[in-house]
Amino acid sequence: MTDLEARLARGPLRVRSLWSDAGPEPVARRIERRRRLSVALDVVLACALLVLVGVTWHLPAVVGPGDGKAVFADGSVAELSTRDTELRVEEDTPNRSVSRLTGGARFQVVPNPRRTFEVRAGDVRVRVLGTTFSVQQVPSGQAQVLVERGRVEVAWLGGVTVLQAGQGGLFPPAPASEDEPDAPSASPAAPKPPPPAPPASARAASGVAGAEGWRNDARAGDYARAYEELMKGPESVRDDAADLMLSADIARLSGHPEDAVRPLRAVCERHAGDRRAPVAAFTLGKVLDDMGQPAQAAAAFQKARTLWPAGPLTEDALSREADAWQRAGRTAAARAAADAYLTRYPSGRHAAAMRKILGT
Amino acid sequence: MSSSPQLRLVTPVPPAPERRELTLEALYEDYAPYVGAVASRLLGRASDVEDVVQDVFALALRGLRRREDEREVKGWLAKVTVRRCLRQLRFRRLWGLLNSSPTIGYERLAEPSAGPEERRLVSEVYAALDRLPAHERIAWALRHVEGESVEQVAVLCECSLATAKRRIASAQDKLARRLGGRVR
Repeated sequence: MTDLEARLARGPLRVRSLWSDAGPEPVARRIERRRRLSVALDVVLACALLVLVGVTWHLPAVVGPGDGKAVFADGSVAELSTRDTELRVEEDTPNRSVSRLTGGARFQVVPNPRRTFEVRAGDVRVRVLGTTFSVQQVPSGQAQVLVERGRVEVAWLGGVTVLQAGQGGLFPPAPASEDEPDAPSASPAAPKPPPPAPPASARAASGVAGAEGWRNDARAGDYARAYEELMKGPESVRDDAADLMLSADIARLSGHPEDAVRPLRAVCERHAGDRRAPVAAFTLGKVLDDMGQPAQAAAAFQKARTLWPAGPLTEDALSREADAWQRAGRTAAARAAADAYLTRYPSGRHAAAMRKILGT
Repeated sequence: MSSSPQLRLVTPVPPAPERRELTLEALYEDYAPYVGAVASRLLGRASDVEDVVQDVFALALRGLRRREDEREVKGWLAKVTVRRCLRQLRFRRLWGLLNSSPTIGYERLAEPSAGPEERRLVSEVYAALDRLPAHERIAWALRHVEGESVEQVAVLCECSLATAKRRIASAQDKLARRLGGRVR
């Protein structure tokens, strides 16, 4: 037993009062003075807090070369694609985020229906409806927008459109490319409007009656139900890039990534000229990597960067390719990809990892 | 025979207690020594005690206006005193991080009638209390210096009985470790 415990066993410690009445000044006056001081301190603290919140949320922040990525107040992330990219966050509040982009960046936006997330590139405004997407300014002055997941609304002087997962395009769109929306192109072009629904008789004749069910479920975000519906009639998936990408998204997002491989591969191989093909190849790489197939994943990443050499996914595809080759035990291929990365992006986000692969 | 007048024992009815007007001056006169004593045992420093007493009475008029029964007044003042002491201790700790002022001694904190051994113990205990989390320190001091029951500690700290017990026990363990060099 310590001294203290022994002492406490006999009763409370004996401590004297330190208070003594402060003097002749009336208590009311002393207390009023104290109250005013306390109110003034509270006001100062509240102002300081407001200023701090204002600085955090309202003042423009600039993310430039060398910063790599920007994290927004809600956890959304922008990864800069090129060394000369600049992202100016003009507003970042709980209800609204507005950024101005010069160059290219990939955005992963935390879904929040009550928050507007907007990126402006030149005269093009991309408003996010909960998604992952890339924006890249091209020398023509247009902005290349590519949606990996979810939807975005793209607006420019004279038009507005909504892009779904797998869709992309140059904005403002060139008039010629809008005339032939379905024509496959070697590089991503203007967005296609949603294909018109075939007449009921035609759908019945083609054996896809009722097949809109899984498409509608997917568009509504109910991927689990869409997957169930899709499995009832997998033959209802049309052999076009949009339908194949949608079915792949349904498989991935409902927790069946292995069922996404076939449609993604089909887009890469049978629709390699379609603007969705690079995204399909990149997504295929990620799916295969997650499934523990690094060699096949590396080949898919390689395909993604080959299909769109100057695209916003190229840097990530190249680094992932090198990493996947390394894990597959293909050292020479890994070193070649890492070397290609460093030649192209010597100060890129993954430069350190690539140097590690090269052992430099 | 005429009956003698029946005697009746009449118990005098005490006059209704005069309801005293609840003014700041009256409150202060009646309760400032009590609030000052509680704050002294919780804080251990005269400068903090003066601040807390004034803070408590600055709040008192507004807070007590709704209380008809003056018996509630003392309980209300005790609770507010504990709350202000907690705030003062947290502010003290924050200020201590920013300002490397020398450690304050507590040699004169024990009652004047206490012997040298008790004075030394009180001084060491308060130095050790300065290193405890504020809510644990308050609970321990209410129990072992103010002499409150554990139930009353829970009421004054506005926490559950289990929490009060846990805080007191945690503080006791830490104090025993810090002062544990002298084991009887």
